[in-house]
Amino acid sequence: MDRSTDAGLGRTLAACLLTALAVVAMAAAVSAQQPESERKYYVIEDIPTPEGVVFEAGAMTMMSDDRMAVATRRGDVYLVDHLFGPVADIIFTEFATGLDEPLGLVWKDDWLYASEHTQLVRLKDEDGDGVADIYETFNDEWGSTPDYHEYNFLAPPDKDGNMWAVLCLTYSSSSPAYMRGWAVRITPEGEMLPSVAGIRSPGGVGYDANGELFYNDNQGLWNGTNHLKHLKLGSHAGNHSGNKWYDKAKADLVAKGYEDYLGDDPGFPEAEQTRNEDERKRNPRFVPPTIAYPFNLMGRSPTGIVWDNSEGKFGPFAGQMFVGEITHSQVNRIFLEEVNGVMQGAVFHFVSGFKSGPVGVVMTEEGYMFVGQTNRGWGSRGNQPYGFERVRWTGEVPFEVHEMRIEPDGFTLTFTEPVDPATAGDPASYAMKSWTYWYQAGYGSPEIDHTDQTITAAEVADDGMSVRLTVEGVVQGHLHELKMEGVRSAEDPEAGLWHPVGYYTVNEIPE
Amino acid sequence: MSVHFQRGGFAARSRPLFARLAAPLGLLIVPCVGLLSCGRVEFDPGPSPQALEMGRDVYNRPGSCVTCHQDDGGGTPAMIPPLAGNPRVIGDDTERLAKVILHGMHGPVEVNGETYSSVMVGQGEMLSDLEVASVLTYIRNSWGNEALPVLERHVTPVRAAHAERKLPWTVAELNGEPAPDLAAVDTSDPIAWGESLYMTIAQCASCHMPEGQGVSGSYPPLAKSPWVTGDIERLIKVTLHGVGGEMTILGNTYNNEMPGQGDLLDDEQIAATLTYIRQAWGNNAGPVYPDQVAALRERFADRHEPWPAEALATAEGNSILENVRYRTVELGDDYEAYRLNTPELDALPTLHEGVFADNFIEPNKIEGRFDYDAPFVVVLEAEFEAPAEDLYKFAQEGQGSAVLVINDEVVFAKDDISGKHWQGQTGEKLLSPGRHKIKFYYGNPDKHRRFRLSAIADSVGRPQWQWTHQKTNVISLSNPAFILVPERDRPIVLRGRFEGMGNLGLAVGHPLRVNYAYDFARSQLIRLWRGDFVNAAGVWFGRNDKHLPNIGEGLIELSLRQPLAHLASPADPWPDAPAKNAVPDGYDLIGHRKVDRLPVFYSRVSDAVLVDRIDPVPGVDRGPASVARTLEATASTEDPTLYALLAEGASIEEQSPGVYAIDGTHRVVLGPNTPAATIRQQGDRQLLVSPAEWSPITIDLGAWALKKTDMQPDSPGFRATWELEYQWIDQPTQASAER
Repeated sequence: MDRSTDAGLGRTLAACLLTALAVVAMAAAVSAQQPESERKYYVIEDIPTPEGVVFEAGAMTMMSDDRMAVATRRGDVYLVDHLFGPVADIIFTEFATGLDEPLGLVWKDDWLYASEHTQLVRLKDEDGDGVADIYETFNDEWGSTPDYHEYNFLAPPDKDGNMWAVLCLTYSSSSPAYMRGWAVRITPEGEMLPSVAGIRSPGGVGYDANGELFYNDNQGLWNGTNHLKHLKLGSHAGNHSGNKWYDKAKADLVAKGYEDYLGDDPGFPEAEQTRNEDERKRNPRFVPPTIAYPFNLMGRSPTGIVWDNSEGKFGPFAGQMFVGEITHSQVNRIFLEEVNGVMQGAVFHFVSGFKSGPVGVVMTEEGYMFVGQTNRGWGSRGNQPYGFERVRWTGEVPFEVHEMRIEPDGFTLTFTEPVDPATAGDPASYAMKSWTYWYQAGYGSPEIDHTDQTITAAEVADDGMSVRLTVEGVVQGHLHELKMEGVRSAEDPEAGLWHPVGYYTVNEIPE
Repeated sequence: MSVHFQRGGFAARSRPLFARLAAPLGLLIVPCVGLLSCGRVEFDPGPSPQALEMGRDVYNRPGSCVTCHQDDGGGTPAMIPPLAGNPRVIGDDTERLAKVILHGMHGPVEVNGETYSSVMVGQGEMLSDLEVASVLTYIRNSWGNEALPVLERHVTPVRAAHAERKLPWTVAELNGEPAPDLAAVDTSDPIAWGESLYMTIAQCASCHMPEGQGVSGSYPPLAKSPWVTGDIERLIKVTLHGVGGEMTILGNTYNNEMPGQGDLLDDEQIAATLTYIRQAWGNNAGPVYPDQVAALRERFADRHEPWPAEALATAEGNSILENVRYRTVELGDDYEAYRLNTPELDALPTLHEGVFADNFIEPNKIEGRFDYDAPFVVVLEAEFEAPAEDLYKFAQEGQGSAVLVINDEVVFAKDDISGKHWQGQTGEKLLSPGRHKIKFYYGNPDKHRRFRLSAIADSVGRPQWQWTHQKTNVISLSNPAFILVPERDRPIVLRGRFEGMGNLGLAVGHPLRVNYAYDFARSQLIRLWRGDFVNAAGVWFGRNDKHLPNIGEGLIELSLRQPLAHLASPADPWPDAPAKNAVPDGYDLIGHRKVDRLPVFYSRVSDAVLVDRIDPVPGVDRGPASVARTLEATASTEDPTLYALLAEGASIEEQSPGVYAIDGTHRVVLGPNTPAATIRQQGDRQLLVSPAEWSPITIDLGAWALKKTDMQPDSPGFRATWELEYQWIDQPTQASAER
């Protein structure tokens, strides 16, 4: 994680002037549903999609710096060009048709890989006419049934060159077919390697800035709320519905010439209701959720995962993570850090008012975020059945928490702009409480173990860019809600934080 | 000028018109009418005020002459010729004028040096001879025109002389030139043919205008209209039978009547005309095929009235149900003894009851449905008004049992309360217009109390017909009419799950109106059917969890066994068909490659590669198409043990050399280079099997196709080929012989 923000912010400020004119020119295309307060900083622009096409954009990937591939849930794949000018100039070219609910796309070595419901297919335009002619079954080792829940998301190759597919349980609750409820790696040769057990119902998979892989899992069995989970080879993500495949998966690995990195079937807790912390002790391979999204407070269905690779062209959050959220039609922001070898961090609201339900998210180095949307079968606040929108930074830096880091006795907050020392230095400007959720076989969980923390001190750094909070009562295993309603900007004593609330998931407390 | 939308309104308003006329003409006129002797009543020498008044009335009826020719008789540049100052209007050839009004005409026509291209529809069915005469008299004496009146007796013989005529006159005919030979029209391109039909005999352009823009306030536009580019069945029904009543199109309201064209045009003409309008003027929708028209013509053969517009229109967000109420019943411990829809169950005491205020069934609002410790039965009742006679489809999904009863008749039933099945039940029922009672039972022995229910008019895709509320999350949008139709030059290739196969497969809907499904696991072409392809509603609305059924006709179920097999001895039995989702020994589907927009399938079969190419071929004389198939094995060695399975059935009969009839449903015709096949009996099945005949080749398959084998591109190898053609049994046998 990049601890130095100065360089990014400098570029950010320089970019303000460049984009100011474009704001006016593109005003006509902005989202009608986006709150005015957000538009000042980030603008959602509706991209006109091909007429007559139900553009339920579920999967997206960049094919080069300036060309994107988008797959619709009805199975068509479009190549998208002219991405960074006026949205009206964006061009769509049909590349393939008839895929089976593709929700993952990866471009690699002149092949476009798509995770369909039943297989990983790869497409190639061999004769050079711009349209795919080869549809090769690259891997069909994972099992499937007709059930619609069996959504499969796909991540580009990791450091070892293997793609990752995250496979939803059947009915989001059982695993009648091989590898349902697992994450698997697909080698460059097309072999499937069982890799992480314990998946329930993924909504998206993607990397952070350091190349660590994460996926979003939806609230349900063994998942008390929605979680961002860290995919570590050989680990267990928490849901036990797919554990039945351990023996077969291990034999599968051995047959393919790999040593067993999965370990044994961990079984499941004897007690009907436990907590994530209990499961960590019971099953050492269980990786505690990196981020617990408080249910309803930060949406209800987290989806696509990207990190900001634009080095400031997208504003002050370079290197941080953005995740889609279908139900609330928004994109949230995540700050991550590693503590005692475990990933954790904070989630903040970012941009809302998308026209449908964000599923696919793509970040471009040019500093534009593209959000593919569909709400069929899922529902979303945005009332359109589908959409394809672009988020553009206006150049205006919002007054916002930049990072929230845990300390042995509290948290350090950094900000995008200097804080007013009087308000930011007053502990009464903050409020913190925490809770967690059951870890149980039943569906979801209420909030449990509510605890109030006490902010005993708030120390503002000399440059006004950070505040050190001393907090009593931080609970390992809880998500901590931090409200910062009282904090004001140094520049404008009227201006509070753009989003004055964040949720930090404490898996580990540093020494 | 056209009043043909006004057929309904005319009868009602004509009576007061005659009543008004009768008063000034006095007693003389009234008996005249009865005695058919009005010819004696002359208006001499100039036009009578009565004739002018009647003519003005006819001319100015809404949607009548005035709509096109305007209230100043000026017409519309380039389209509608003026009447004011028009030499033919004031000329002496009143027979020609009567012909035009009675039967219509289509242009282009030249008036005062300007050319006008449009179609005018004949008004003979709408107007009496007296009215024709009066309106002619009116236009000959308005806007500065002056001419002798036209009298009823001038019109009557013209009508009598052309009593059989239905079509408008061509200008050439009116000018006494020979009529164009309609048979000479090139019908091979449906769009060009459709355009000529649209402008001429189909008479569309007279109201909807040559550019499809319609006439504001009177005739709806076709350009960009969802009624044109949307649901094909609705469009065909409107064309066949007409439509009347209020409709809102592109934000404007129209209230008119369009007569059906089903008697005027045949299926191919309608298909071509509709194909044209669906892609003209910026429209971009798929074609309409004659068999689609034929199917609806047959299904609604008894319909002779236009459809009420409200029966075809969509009304977003409104439930069609009224008075929706529910009650849950107390079952007790021996719930397994009960069946849904029985007097015993109906007699059980009520646990909870309620009504759904907005008339949508909302499962989430049923009280008690989360009481996990008891089996759960709910009885829903409601009424609804069917707007038109139609075949209504009903669908239900959920875990448990369900029975749907409409007007005391069961539409579908799974009445076993202990059943824990996931189910998707459908049923259909022909309903007359008017009020109908529905009763829906739903039962579940465990806690998954989720059900979905929808009802949709067969012809129109409209999710608002679903009975559960869209706002809840337990709804599957269903739209049984979301039928995929291939473009004229573009087959539909759809990956997914299809009836008759496992989870991995592909189906093709071909513009020649033949369709097929290929099972990836079995590497086998398993089904052929004709006509309509598939209904995508099951996967494209709501959630994608269906094996799509084929919805056309003439289903041919081909063999489920592997297409190639190694037989150590020719007498060895052919391997049994693998179970669904199972892969035959030695098989592995490599993928497919699109060639001319159609998939060619590649499979590894042991150490060989099978390339399976399926090509629909046109029928003779526009007859039904058949399907050619080439199986091609590529290997590095000549393997004498390789055989191909070319047909399977309960009975295979060789009709002539290389021509085999299978089960009375289809024929398999072997290509001339296909090795001789033999019929073998295996259990109660007969199989047609042919050995490999290998020829040396240079291996021409791409690296991607060879990667699971030991073969290298461009190395020496061998190829065995089998060519065959599937023909439906009603197709002429010579079709293949000519190829």
